[in-house]
Order: sequence, then C-alpha cells, then structure tokens
Amino acid sequence: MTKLEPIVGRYTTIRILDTDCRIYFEEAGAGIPLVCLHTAGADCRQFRHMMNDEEITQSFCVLTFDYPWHGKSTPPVGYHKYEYKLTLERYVEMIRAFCRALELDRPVALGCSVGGHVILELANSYGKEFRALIGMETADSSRKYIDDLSNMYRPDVHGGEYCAAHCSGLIAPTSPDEYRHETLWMYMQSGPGVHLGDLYSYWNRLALDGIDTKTTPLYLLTGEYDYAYTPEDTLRAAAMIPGAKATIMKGLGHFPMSENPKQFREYILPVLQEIKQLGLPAKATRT
Amino acid sequence: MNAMSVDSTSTEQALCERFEKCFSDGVNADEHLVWRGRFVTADFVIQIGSVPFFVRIENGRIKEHRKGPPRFGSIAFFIKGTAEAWGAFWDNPPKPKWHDIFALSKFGHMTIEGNLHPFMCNLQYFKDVLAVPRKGAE
Repeated sequence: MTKLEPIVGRYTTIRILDTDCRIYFEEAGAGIPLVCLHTAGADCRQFRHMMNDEEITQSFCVLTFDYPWHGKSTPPVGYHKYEYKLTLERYVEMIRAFCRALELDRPVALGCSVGGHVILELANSYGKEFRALIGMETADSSRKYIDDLSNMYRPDVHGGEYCAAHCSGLIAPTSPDEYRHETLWMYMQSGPGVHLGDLYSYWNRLALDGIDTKTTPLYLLTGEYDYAYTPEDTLRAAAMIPGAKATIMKGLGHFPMSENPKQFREYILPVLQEIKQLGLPAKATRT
Repeated sequence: MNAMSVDSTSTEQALCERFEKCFSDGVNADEHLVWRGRFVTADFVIQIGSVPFFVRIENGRIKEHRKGPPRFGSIAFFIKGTAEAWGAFWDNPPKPKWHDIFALSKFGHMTIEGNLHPFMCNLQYFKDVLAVPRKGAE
C-alpha cells in the first residue's frame, strides 16, 4: 500500500458571530494544540510541511482550517448578495469559534501575514485564551506599498494570476522553485475577490497596549525578504511589547512555512521547543 | 556586481550595456516566457537612471528595443528606476528590499506609471521580462 501522510481532513460547521459556516480543517499529531492560520487569499495547505514534520507532531497536535470562502470551506449561504470583507472582529471570532468547537485547551496559535496580524489582536484582547502566540510577517502597522488593489478583483484582470504575481515578489528569491510555485498555485486557485476581501483590515493600525506576555508568551518571526511587513516593522512592534521575542529569518520571505520549509524549521522548532517547556500541560490533548 | 561600489555614471553605463546586450535575446530565447506573453502587445519605456529605452513587444516577443526616448508614439507605461535600483535588482541573488519591482517602488527607487492595465493583466510576465538581465549576472 502507498505511504499515507499523517494529515487527516474533516468538515464541521461552526457559528461565527451570526453566521453558520461549514469549514474544512486538517489535523496531524498529538499533544499541545497548535492552531495555524493561513495567509490572505490562500488556504490551509500552506502548513502541510509542519504537519508532516515528526519533530513537531510528536509533541503538538497541529490543526489548521480553511477560512470560510477559502479552499474547501464554502462561503455562507447568501454570499452572492454582498461583497466579501473580512473584518478584524469576524476574523477574531472565527478563530475563537474554531477553538471552542474543537474544545481546545488553551491552544497555541500561529498565524502568517493577515494570520499574523490577527495574532496581535488575539494577544491584545484575548491573550488569556491561548498558551502562546506566534505572529509571522506582522507588526502593529506598515506602510502600504500599492495604492490601487482593485486589480485583485475586476472582470478585465485574471484575479488568480494577478494575485499570484503580486505575491511572487514577497517570496525570497533563494527559496526553492518547487515550493515557490506551489505557494503561488494556492493564490491562483482562490475565489474571486477573496484575497482582496481578506486584506480589508490588514493595513489598520493595531493596539498593542493590552498584550501581557507573562500570561501568554508572544513570538514574532519575519522573513528578511518580506517588504509588506518588513523586519524593521516587526522589530519596532516588538520593542513596544515588553517580553515579546522577535526573530528575523534569513533567506525567507512572506510565506516561510510554505516557500522554504527546510529553512523555516530552523526558526520554528526552537520556538515550539520553548513553548513545550512552559510547564503548562494540556488538560486534554487531541490525539 | 555590487552597483553601490562603482561611481554612478559608469554604473549606469555598464547597466545600459548589459541591458542592451541581453534583453531581447534573453526574452525571445525563452519560448515559455514568450508563450505566457502571447496576449501582450505594447509599447513602453524602461528607464535606467537617466537613460530611456523604448521597448516594443508583440505577442510576447520583443520586436524592438533601442536606447532613446519614444518618437511621437503612444506609450502605454513607463518603468523608471535609479541605476542603483536596476543594478541591485539584477544582482543574483538580489538583496532584500531590492529583489522585486513592488519593493523597489515602495522604498522609492522605482516608479511605474501610465496606463498600467496591460502591465497588471500580465504582471508575472512583465516581472519575469524585467528580470531577464539578472541571468547575465551569473
């Protein structure tokens, strides 16, 4: 029989604010729950390398889900009657609803790009619900690098091809071609307007003054080739949060976990090792 | 080549020579790149420092590129970068913040202006076309 990967995918319906959403999620491993949040306009396949990494899955139950509108999660009933815009409030509640639905005991959450942005909001407003938080390619704010994002969603430009081309420059030029193009393929497959809708709150300045890293350790990791949220942005934000630990990742861009998994594990394994040693055993770990 | 270590005039001249030498042949020899640009027909200008180059693309293939400004033609768009920007962009591998045209634009080293519709419709094609001289750095 062919060798099967340890990743298992399932569907469930969660209620996000006032809306029932059927979502697809994946899990692998056993131990401390680690919820991974994908980037804008992509899906949970970005974390397949972490979920296939025994050094991670022997201590962590890695969970990830396609946000509504993304991947194999359907949009809610009636989606065709309004423009998709992911507000920060809905984003936060989506993550909390997922954690409640799966009865996760103070999970670790890790997010990248918009997923990293929402990590800071979780840290600021709901930090106690999490064992530790890992924000990647994020800061409290950054300078926009393009005024007109309408090319992501207009009938005379192919949104999938545009979004992939837009993101291609955010990948380190030294990342392996194989993984560069796999990362971009996910962008090409995104639904119309989804990437743009995900960015609705992305450039908003976030509050950091409610973050308590003594209760919930906060790690910030940013690739040196990221120019959306630059290493300087991340270091500036970290300097404003007592106890936050920031690392700039060499040879990586905006999609570290999918664009160069081998290089990324050099940075993520020590963080996960530190979290493992926090001495906070899970009450009930998923197996 | 480290563009920043050479004085700006000779850097600009060297970059222009490199561009002239490898641009058309580099694009047109890449059959898959030409195929990806099969719907691209456009006249535009690439400016390296103070030196403009007129470029004509027909169905993804470079039909003409010559030093100098356009001669009363309708130009779709202009891509203007400092010599330092092109030099760093064509390094192999390029440094962070100098590795992509959007990054160069964000940090003030490049402007892309005009009717950007054909450019944005074929963004990856144009990104790859503009990076062709990087191969010459190998």
